[in-house]
Amino acid sequence: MAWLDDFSFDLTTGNIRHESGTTRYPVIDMHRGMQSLAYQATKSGDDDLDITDLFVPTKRNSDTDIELLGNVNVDDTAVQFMYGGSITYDGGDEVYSGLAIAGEFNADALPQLWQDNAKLTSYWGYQLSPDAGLGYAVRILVKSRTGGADIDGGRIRAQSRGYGYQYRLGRTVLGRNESVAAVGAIATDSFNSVAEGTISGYTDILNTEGYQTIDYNNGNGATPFYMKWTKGTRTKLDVYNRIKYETMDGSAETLYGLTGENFLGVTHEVPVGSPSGTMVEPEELSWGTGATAGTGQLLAIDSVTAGTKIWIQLLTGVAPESGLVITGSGTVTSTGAAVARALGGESVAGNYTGAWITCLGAGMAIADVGANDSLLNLLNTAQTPPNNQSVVVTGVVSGEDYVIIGKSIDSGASINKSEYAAAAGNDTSDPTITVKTSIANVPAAGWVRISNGVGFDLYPYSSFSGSVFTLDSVTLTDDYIEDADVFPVIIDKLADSTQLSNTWVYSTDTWLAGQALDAGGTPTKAFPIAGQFLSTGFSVNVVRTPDE
Amino acid sequence: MALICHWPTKVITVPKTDLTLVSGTKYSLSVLCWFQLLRELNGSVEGMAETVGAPIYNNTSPSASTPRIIDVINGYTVQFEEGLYSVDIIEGNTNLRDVEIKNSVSVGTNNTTGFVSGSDIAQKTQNSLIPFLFR
Repeated sequence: MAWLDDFSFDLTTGNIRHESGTTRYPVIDMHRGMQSLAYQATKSGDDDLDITDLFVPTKRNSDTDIELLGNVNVDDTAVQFMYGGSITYDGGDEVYSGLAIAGEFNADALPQLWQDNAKLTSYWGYQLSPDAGLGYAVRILVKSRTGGADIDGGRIRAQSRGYGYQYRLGRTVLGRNESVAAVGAIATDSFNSVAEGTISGYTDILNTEGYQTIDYNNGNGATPFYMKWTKGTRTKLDVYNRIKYETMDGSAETLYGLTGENFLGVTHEVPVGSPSGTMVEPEELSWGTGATAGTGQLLAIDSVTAGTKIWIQLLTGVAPESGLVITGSGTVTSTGAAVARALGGESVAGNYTGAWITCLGAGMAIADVGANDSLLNLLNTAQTPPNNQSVVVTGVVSGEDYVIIGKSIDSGASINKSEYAAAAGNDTSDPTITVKTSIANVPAAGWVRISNGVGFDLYPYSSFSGSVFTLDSVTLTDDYIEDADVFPVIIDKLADSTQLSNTWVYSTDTWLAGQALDAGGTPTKAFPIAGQFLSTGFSVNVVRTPDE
Repeated sequence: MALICHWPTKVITVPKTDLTLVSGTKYSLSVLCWFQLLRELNGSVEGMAETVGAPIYNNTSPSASTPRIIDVINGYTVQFEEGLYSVDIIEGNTNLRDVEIKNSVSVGTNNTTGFVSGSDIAQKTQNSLIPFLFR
């Protein structure tokens, strides 16, 4: 029998060992081979068992669940040549479990196994004893129980992180028979397109680790993240590729105190209280005993000395249940059930398809993102930066041309000079202008005009909130009556360079009207400005026509 | 000084100080000066907001054979600072007659269809007086 050709058995030690050959066998073949030894008339070769020994070495619970009896055992090498089930021995204290990795892989996108927070040494490549019908690429045996204790409760993670390919993972719990970890068919990642040799040099793409707040100026204020990537002079695509590079299979990078290939991101958030001492980001935490025991990497805590919530990557065991003391450099106590959080699909920061859709807590530098990006904060709320667009006027002469551009309600024919009505009490020396309705769809800073009954006085403003414009280092020079016309102006100044601009959050298409004019040294005819401020902004080049 | 505009009513007031004293109560305002005053008003901080799409004036530049023409447009009207004096608009054409708010100031516009210059006026004036002087 072929199995017997490749394996030996020693009756004294009970050792079943692989001796030769490269053929791999279903575990049932081992049982049948050993049974044939038990009933053979005489021993031969390295098969130290015959019927005279009156010893039954194996027991078949099913074709995929074989028990070794007495002192019969296998070792790590022997099981590398078997698949399709589990082998239990030492009275059930030792178990090699069958594991099938479902999916499709290749030499550049290998399936790797992580067990008890450690990477297993691969001998399976990207395909070993596959079963195309079942979609299994790899079928092996993995030690899942030793010394009478399950290794991390039998949990195992299969993942594939080949640079240039989709990153995927699947989990299962090992036991008797064969368990399946479904990773899926790995295809190339069209956005993971920067050459590995190039991206490895982009060390100026940086990540700020730990709990932090980022205000994307979208009106929601600063909200918490634990990751902030800054692209510097690189592109968003470079950032995505750098993240994949740092977390790829075999990465030498360290993120949050973990090897890049072991870093997953936030798996759980846990409400905590009763802080003692100072927690450190990142660090390994532990909690519980027996069935409640676990370890995790602290990725973020809302306060290292007075934390009320922690975000962790579960490393081993189970997530902390309520009431457990969680120990790191300091301690906190869980005050509620841990909440499992979804990991990033294509990278530890989430998905990138020209725009970001990040996973929990993955932020980007404010300047690096735009209105098409969605950044999920640690509160599980997506933050979308505003669509900052510019109104740009070019072709003007510094010190000569005066430019005014305001909002129009007649398709650019004129500026709407009565957008707001002044509230009562806008008086001399006031640092603000208050109007009767909420201010909206205007630049964060610009100019505002208010009627003095004869014309409009002009003031720069530095910000607005609600119905109040806060003036920019000036105060009102007149007392203005209630209901006086007030209107914001996008640009309203004498050119101080060859280009004037203002930034404005696009919210809706808005007609603009204005003009550029040199009434001074080299007079020009008024250059009319009319057009719409769109999601792509607005720009105009002034044509100067002499007016002499 | 400069022109003063009451923007809600579009009334432009010409201060007396912007006029050139000829003698006694007689003042003049050249069309070029009138053009410059209007241009400054149009391009002032207040005027920039008020004149978008609707400038105060229209300027037709002079040529070798035609004078400068300044028309006040878009509903603006003009009044000279109140007083007992006269103003001659010289060296070009205007539509002041049409947009003037009349008061006690006497305004002469002297529009012509041909080129007008100071020397022309002097020569024409001299020629027109000759028949009377020598008859």
